[in-house]
Amino acid sequence: MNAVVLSTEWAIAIVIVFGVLWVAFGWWLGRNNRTLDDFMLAGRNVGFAFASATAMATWITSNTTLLAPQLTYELGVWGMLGYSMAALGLILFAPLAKRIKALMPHGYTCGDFIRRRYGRVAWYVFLIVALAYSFGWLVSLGMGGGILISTLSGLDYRVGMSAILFICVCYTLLGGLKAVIATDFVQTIIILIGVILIAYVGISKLGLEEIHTAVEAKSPQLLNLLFPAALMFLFNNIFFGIGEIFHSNVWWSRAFAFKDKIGKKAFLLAGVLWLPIPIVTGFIALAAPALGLYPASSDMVGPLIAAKILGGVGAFFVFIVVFSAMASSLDSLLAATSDLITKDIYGGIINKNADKEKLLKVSKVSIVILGVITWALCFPRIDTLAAILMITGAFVASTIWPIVFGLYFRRLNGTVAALAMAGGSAVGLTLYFQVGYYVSALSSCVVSLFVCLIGLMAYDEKFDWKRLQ
Amino acid sequence: MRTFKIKLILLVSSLFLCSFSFAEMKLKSGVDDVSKEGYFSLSWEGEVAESVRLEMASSENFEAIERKYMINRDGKITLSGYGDGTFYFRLRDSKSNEVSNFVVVNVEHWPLDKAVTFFFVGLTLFVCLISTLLVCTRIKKTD
Amino acid sequence: MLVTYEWFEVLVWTALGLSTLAPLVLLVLALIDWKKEQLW
Repeated sequence: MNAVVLSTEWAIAIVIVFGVLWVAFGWWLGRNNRTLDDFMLAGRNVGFAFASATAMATWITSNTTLLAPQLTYELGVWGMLGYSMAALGLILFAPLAKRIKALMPHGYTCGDFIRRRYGRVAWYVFLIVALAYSFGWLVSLGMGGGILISTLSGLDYRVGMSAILFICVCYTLLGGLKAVIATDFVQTIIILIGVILIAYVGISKLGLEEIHTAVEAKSPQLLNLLFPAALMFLFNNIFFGIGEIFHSNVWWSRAFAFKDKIGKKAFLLAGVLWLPIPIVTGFIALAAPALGLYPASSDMVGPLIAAKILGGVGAFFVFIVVFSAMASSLDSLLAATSDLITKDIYGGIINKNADKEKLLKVSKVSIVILGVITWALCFPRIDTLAAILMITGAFVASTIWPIVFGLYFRRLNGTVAALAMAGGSAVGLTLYFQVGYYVSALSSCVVSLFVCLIGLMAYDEKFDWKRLQ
Repeated sequence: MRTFKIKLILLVSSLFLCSFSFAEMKLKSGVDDVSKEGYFSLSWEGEVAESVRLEMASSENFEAIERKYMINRDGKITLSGYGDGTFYFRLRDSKSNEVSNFVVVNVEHWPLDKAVTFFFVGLTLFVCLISTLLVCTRIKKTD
Repeated sequence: MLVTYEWFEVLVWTALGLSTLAPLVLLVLALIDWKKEQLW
């Protein structure tokens, strides 16, 4: 494959150096972890800087560095603007984070909230949604990462995928959420410096005006503000992003872990700082016509152009950026999903009398099990599996309204919330296959809103907020 | 809803292979047979020389070549940003010999009114969510 | 309705400027937290 731009030796060296660094860092951070709260929630005392950086880094996935150029290449200016609107998920979660911490100062997972607020039926529906999404994301990260590493460097897919999973499992296991958050901080800085450098060098070598002129001449549709498919994509993508953040334990565990009165500020800042990133990583795709360089598949357009403009140095940066972006999301997802399995499935269903020490052990075991399952799912490289994440848009968008109403309204009843999630998911999924990916999240969210509104009018639960504490 | 999914049927011409150096090119489309988004992938089987270019014209006989693309060795290329229309593609080497069959690509973007409807449904829902959150945080503050 | 060069330039430079600020903001905040011993 001629997309190989970095020698395999270099790739192996980078993986080993960063791997050792992060695992050592994880061990060092985790050496004082004693309790379940230390391990799962970093002692519930994360400061503003780390809080903002971790929220930002986790939301910069390999998707931000690969999908943003891809969407720009396919849908043009609206593609990158639309992708950057995913920052709204972080921004809108800011007030929720504050409310969550206030309502449940001792909470652990989003599953905790749904169970206490809505009861068992809604909780089961929610767990299915949350776990489907977590596995979709884990597999897409593991597989996407392996494919990218092999495309960029020629390193065998299975070796690259196994290496990144192994490294993330190791340091998450050693350091818990503390390690995840601290490595996120370092990774954010690396990612930001990398993408900014690539963008600056790209502009100075090619010139923005040349890029614009070439696009206008050869692919004018990409500059069209009335590009129909892009208009349809816009809000669907926004609701997909909001659904991902509102329901996922990745973000709830951060809301619990951040120091008092930090959550709202941190999520707001993270959102604002994240907003321009997809434009910075995406606009580079528009250089394709100016360079006369067209990718084999559109997901490779970003690395291809960066490597072309910057040569070997560019490939080196792209590799480090993507590797960091992947690790920063993979570790968070491993930690948050293991929390969900520990507290909700083990502590909630299997062994209701488990004490905190037992849960701490289960939490560590489940990180390893999650790593192994993800590895096994990624190993055969069934390409269609990587697309599963797109389907989960229908699921996650159905949880937006039940969560918002559940946090602020005493009226909404558990059965209605369960119906809203199940109904929204069913309709969104149907339309995904009948019409296309760009309507599934939107339709799911609309249906779930209607079910919730009917429920709010018909019943009054008179929920007592104290039951959440 | 299915009615607006596929309106035209894509024509992939597959001419007979006449020589060994001939590459068979085809359109690798995703879900739709007609590109509704203006992007599409073309792929070809068989070895082609580095000097080979992908040519685009708007007529079957390639009277006027409108665009030429350098190709990569992956045997595949993804192009984007096309407006409505029918486009013809073929591979030609530096001596102007055809080295592949030609492929027809139909691009038919979604009707703008449909797209705008989706846009406004999304916008309305978004405004609902923002105002709910604003009202809720206000009320809880005054509590 | 195409995006003109002027708007394209504004968009890219604004985004680039803001993201250049991002690592600086994060580092300064971390330094403040570290001084106050409030990182964790």
